[in-house]
Amino acid sequence: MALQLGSEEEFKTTIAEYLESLPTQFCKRVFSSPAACLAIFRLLSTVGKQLVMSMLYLDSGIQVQDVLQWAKVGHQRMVKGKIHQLRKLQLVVEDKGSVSLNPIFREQLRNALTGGGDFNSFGIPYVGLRDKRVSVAWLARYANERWEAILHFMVGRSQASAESLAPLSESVRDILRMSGLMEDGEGGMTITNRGFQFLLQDAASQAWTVLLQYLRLAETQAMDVVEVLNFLFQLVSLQLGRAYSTEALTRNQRKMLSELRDFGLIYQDDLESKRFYPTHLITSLTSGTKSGDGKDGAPIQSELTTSSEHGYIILETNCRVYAYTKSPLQIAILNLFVHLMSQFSNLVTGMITRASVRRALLHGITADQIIIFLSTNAHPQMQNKIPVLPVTVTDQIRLWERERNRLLPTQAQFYKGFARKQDFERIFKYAQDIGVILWASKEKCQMVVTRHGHAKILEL
Amino acid sequence: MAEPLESDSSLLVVILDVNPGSWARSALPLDKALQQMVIFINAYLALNTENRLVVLGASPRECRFLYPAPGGGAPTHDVQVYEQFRAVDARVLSGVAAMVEDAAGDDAGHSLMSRALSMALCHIRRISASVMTKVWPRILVLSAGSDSAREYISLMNSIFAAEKMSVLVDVCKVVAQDSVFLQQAAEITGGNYVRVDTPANESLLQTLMFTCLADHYTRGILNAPSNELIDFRATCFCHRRVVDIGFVCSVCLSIFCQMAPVCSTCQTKFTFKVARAGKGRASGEPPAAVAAAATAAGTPSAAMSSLNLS
Repeated sequence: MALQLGSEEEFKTTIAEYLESLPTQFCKRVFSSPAACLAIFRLLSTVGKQLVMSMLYLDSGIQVQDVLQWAKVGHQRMVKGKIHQLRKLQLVVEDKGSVSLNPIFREQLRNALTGGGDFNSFGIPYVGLRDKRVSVAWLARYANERWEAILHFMVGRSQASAESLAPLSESVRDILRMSGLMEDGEGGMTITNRGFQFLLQDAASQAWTVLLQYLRLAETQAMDVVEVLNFLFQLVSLQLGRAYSTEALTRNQRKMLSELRDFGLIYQDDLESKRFYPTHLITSLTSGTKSGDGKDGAPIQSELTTSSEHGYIILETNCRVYAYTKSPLQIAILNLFVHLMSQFSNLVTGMITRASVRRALLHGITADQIIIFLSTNAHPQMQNKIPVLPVTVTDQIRLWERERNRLLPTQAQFYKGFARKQDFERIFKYAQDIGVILWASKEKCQMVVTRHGHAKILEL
Repeated sequence: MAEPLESDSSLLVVILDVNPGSWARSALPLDKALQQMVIFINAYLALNTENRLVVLGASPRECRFLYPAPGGGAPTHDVQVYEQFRAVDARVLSGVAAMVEDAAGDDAGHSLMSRALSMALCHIRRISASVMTKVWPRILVLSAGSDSAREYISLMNSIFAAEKMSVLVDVCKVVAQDSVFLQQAAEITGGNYVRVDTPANESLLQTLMFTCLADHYTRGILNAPSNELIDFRATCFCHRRVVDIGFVCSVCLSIFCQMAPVCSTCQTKFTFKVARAGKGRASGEPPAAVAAAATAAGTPSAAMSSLNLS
């Protein structure tokens, strides 16, 4: 499947690209904090992580053949590929046939595990008066309000509710414009195809997109990439509900902080405040799928599931949709691909029709995205069944998508009227060798080649 | 059974043997081993944010959950470590210290390994049932003591239960002496058995990282250390002695070193007399009866009828 927009995969590959392209001195700076090393480690593949861990406490290098011996028969090529990737990321250095971990990376990763080194890299907590009204629930509400305001803006709902927030700041609009989610049209900004896809994703993927945009911004504005990277790595490992101090941040980092505040990823009293609180949007980034309740043996990062994350959609086998929601944002998102028919005080009903799905497909949303959106937001009763969504409906949505791909035009050249059969044979063989034939008929001495192939044949 | 995916999370139950007597006799002191264990735990948690961890402490007197501790308070705050690691580490270290204090008197006892394994398996079952995504469970046993013969039956039962639940059991022994039961545990469930003899500073950590850190998916790709010959002999049920040749009840397959008229496990009566090897009875029972008695085939009534024939 192609890379999902703004998802974790894209973030990982982008970081990987950055690290590969950075010269060694920059890498030294990136690796110089335990938080960064830990975050980079977490972005590796599973086998890569195991290789790094096996070499972490080895002080000398090992021969490459020995490392390959670790792999089972049949997987040696894959392991070799992983070692190569680690080398590209500059985590592993090779020296006359023996490999070892980059010493700075090794040192700092050990520090991350044991608690030594620059402990400020994990975020300095703010020591001072606690702000009494800031609690985990309050932060969640704040974050959701901000995030929904942005999504509202994207969908085009201009109605202001009782708790209307200030109109979106310039920096948010800039980010939206630069990431291609919205573009300037007449009368304000309008949403693009990518923006529609963005709407259908879950909150974590959306947050990744925003963070990724900062990286790209840093590149184009010639900001210090390393600084931005380090700050991002630090943010991702913060603890929910704790206040952190802004003392040690540089000017650029504080600017980033204020922009992230507009997105609801962090909370800061005002721009000059000395402390900030991360919200659940940013702390739950590294925990991918939703896990179970937070009882014994639960994953360490506790996430706050707000009401907007519980499933609320019921989909029947006759393509009828019942959504238990009254949030205008969710109704607007459903309106993208569902033909809504009636709205009650806590329920919205509609049908998934061919027209509504084609409308969505025309906007650039793919069938897979619709299906993923429906299954992640499905009502808990539906999630107990396997498969979550009725197969009839999912197949039908995919078929409607394939209807649009029935005809595939290709620019081509049609040859007919060959004087002699040998001519036809010769040209046919040549075209076949370079692989540009789309259709040929030996009896009629006619064939169709691509435009690109046509140029080549003319040379012949 | 489903194949492990690269992104699946694991559930690791660490069983720490905190018998103070055994640790006093081992080359590696308990606190150093604990420090390395804690780093290993941090590494495991760093692998995947969804990885779950449970730590159990086993002493000769009791088995206790060290993490997550029932009713534990919030640990004091200290930013030097990644905070999530800090919470776990503090709980584990304080829990072990408490257990060592409580168990200070029993020097010669054996740690309750089978009880710890059973608690671990029950916990694994409970967590797997309550979570929606597939979690791959494994157990790591860090043991410094030797086997206790009276635990054989319960230990083997837990091992077979673990194998049915597809739980891998890795064993790391810190003393020079092999533990036959734990070797069998690792072999049957598909885990690794390693022994760390040298008291070098980080050798325990390196061994653990190399062999026991890999999750189910990675173990399919990377090799594990091979196991040497394992002593699969059983112990008898009556005296807990290791036997090579013995008597087996035909109904429940429990092993005895001497003939008993009634099987202690299933209460089957075997009422025919057996001719001891080398001491024939005066009545001169035909060899067929001896063969029948030695195999103890069939139900008691059938045995009676075969005896009547002779």
